[in-house]
Amino acid sequence: MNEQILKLTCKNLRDKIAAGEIKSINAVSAIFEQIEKNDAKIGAYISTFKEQSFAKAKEVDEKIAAQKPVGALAGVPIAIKDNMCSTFGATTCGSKILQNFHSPYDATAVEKLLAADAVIVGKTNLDEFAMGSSTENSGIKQTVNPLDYSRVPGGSSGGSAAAVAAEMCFAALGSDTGGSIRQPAGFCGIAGLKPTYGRVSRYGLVAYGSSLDQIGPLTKNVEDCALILNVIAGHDEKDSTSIDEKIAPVQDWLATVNTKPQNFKIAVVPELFKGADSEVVAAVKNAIEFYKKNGAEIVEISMPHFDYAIATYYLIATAEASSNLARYDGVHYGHRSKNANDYIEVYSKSRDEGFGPEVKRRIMLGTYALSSGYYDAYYLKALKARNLIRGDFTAAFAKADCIVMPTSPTTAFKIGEKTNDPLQMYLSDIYTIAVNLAGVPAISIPCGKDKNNLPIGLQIIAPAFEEAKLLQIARLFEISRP
Amino acid sequence: MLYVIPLHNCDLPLLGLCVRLSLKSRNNLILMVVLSNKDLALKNRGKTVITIDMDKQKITVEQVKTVAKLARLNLNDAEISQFSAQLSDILQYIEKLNQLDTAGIEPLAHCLPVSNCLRDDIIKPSLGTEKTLSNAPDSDGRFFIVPKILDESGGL
Repeated sequence: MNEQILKLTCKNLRDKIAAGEIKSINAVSAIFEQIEKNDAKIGAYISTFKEQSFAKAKEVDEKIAAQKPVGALAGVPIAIKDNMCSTFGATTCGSKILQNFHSPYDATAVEKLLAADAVIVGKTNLDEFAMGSSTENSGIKQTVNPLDYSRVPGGSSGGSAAAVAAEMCFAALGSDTGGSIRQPAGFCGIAGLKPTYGRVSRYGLVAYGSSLDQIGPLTKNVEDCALILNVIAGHDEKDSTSIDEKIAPVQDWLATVNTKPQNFKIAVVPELFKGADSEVVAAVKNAIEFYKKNGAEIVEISMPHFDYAIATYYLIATAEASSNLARYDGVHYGHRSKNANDYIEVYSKSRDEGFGPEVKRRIMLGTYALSSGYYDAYYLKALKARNLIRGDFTAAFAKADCIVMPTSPTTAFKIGEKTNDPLQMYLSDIYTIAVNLAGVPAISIPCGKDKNNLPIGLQIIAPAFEEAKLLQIARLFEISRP
Repeated sequence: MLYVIPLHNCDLPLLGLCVRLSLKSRNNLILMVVLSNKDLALKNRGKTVITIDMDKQKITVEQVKTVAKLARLNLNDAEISQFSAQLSDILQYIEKLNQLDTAGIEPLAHCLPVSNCLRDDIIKPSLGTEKTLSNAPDSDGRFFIVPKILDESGGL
């Protein structure tokens, strides 16, 4: 029974719970058995909420028995990345500096999940402050790839991806600043959607790079991405960068996800295949071939500024981070050094003790890029480059409905393989980063496996607010696969 | 063949002279030499094959110290050495932006067509003192407590 439940998608489970075929309490029980059996090895969760989950499941089951109305995720066990504020449990952000931080409010995305009657079973591990591509930068614990324990799950939403892939939840929320949803989804063989910037409120998402951060779902399939997006999308007056619904109305993406796209054009960028492993290239080319056979016109394009995305990103994201992370001062919340002798040391020692190496590195880089004498050469230059990169996307979308490329140049790498070389780690985000700079939506779905049986991610990128088409195109490929 | 390059990204504390051999490829043996500062490099000039002038790095140890101070990070010597090497590497990579002609290009700080998001100016309940102070490392129930900022003479 448990095994059958665990195999269900969010949507199937939701439908069965709503129809009274499965009780939420059984789904929650199956999930906690799975967590207790496997998470000591996988390390996906930083915290779990067993008692609260059973209480919520009971409440949902009672509502259904009494034929009362329930939300779109009624009784479905879901995980959230531990950089989203919740009034239950701690919100660590994977950092020692916030290890004991208990948020006095819920993030809007968390509130929306709860309002949809989801059961939030736990909070997942991440690279500290979402800065990383492997979850190895977590100050709390190591997460491994459930498909191969010697490999990373990707990052920074590595805990969320691992939890979904290991069937320790039915879906999870992640956040994506430079690929942090798509790359771990690719490495763990699941679906991961980064919505258009502004589609989902960032209120209560611990800030890293505010002009790039976006919350999105990691799920077993594309249909579930649509379901979760339905729940979390929308304008929020608490986040002035969340998009006005007069400009981009919230849609019922679940209702349209299974519509077969007609007369669509897919752009491919041949020059970008050079940097990827041959097995990755082969799998992505197969997917393109599939689309060609299923009615898509393939358009070859060039994106001349794509190659500058990593350099641009690591100036803009770190500049924003150095400013955002100034709030960790040892005064208002978070760690305070016991060795501070004066107020300056309260700041500098608390921050030194609380932040890990990658966070310090990015704060340093960002502070340098913003500092007097370097601002024009680095930060301003990066903002101009960002405009050119966005221009590449605008030009591409004038010719095609979406762009298809790999999610990552390789499949999941070994734990420890890149930890001593930050630049090499940064370069592994080559395909995902430009998307955040342009603010457009993109999804990663599995498109094959390499010789080590590790999943390969296919990335599909669409124009701003075109999630409906993006999901349809992704779904078309997904349903064709066994 | 012998190459001499700075030893980047080293886990070891880079205090003093550190020499490491590593096989980078089948044919080339690579000798990596790192010196934590220029004085040390000069002092050891006779003893080593080649010294590396740290000033040629994109960011010097002194600059790293200044930036750490600006960022209020109390870094130790090992971290400073490590960061100056790693940040130099990263900045070297970032230099590629100079190949881009950005004359006449507007800086793009925000990628969506939105501006001036205003909401009605209505007073709503706020968190309140108790909740606001609930995570404070030190408070008296009404205020955050921090070490004294003014010294006895009254100056800053």
